[in-house]
Amino acid sequence: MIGLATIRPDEWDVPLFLHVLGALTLIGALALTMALLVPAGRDGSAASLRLALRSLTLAVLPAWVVLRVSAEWIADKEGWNDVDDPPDWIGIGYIAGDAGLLLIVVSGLLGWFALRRARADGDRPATGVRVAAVLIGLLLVLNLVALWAMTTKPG
Amino acid sequence: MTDTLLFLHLLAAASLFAAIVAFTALVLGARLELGTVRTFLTLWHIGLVGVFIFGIALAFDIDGYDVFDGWVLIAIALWLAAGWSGDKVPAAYRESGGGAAIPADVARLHWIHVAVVVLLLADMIGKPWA
Repeated sequence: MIGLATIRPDEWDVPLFLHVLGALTLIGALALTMALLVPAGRDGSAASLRLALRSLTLAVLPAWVVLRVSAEWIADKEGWNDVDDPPDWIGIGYIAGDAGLLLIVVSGLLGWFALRRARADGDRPATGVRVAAVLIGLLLVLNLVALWAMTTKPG
Repeated sequence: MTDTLLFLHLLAAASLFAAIVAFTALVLGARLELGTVRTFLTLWHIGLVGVFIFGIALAFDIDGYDVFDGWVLIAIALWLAAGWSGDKVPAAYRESGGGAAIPADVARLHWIHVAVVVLLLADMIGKPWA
């Protein structure tokens, strides 16, 4: 695998750069979102929840788009899109990527409803925010597994 | 062995990026708890040391790479620049007690730090003079 990386054609560099940049930024943005959702769920802090939602929409979502689009680009360059039975590491990447969008959207909706309720009724955000924190934590773990799969290439 | 080193190298890079995202939020005006900032500063230190150790180990481990290759020397120079500029934002934030905005000169330095880290990544992928 490393031997292949050493002799990688130059035209793979841009999509691979964007893919790695998107993946690392996504993991970083998920860590920040999680760090904000945990106090929001624990203390009912609306300010932390508002920041977590900003982190989700302004950092996590754009990073996910860069990751997913560049993944398709590099897969096309490397010819993986024409393979009927791709290796496991490609499958793990697709699971983390596609399930990721679902988890981002559900977490965002849970956080947004909690914030709306807090604004309208003065309730402290609680259960929905805790569920969102668990989902973002799950997505963080999924992306770390995908990082392991992309570097060790099992199957 | 090489795959494990590469995974650890990227895991350290992810730790570094997590800190950069958090420090960027501070520069953009977010107010984080001081404990949270301390956690991300720890991630930044772990990431900075990790990318260097595992990066050098990879350069020794992979046939065809050498620690004196042009791209490795560029990476070391960029890593030193990143190391020098990376912890200025959390330091300024902690100094202000977490209440004040990040000073403009520290914010400017942060954006240079972000550019340095992105260049470091580009160097890793493009490997000029490999």
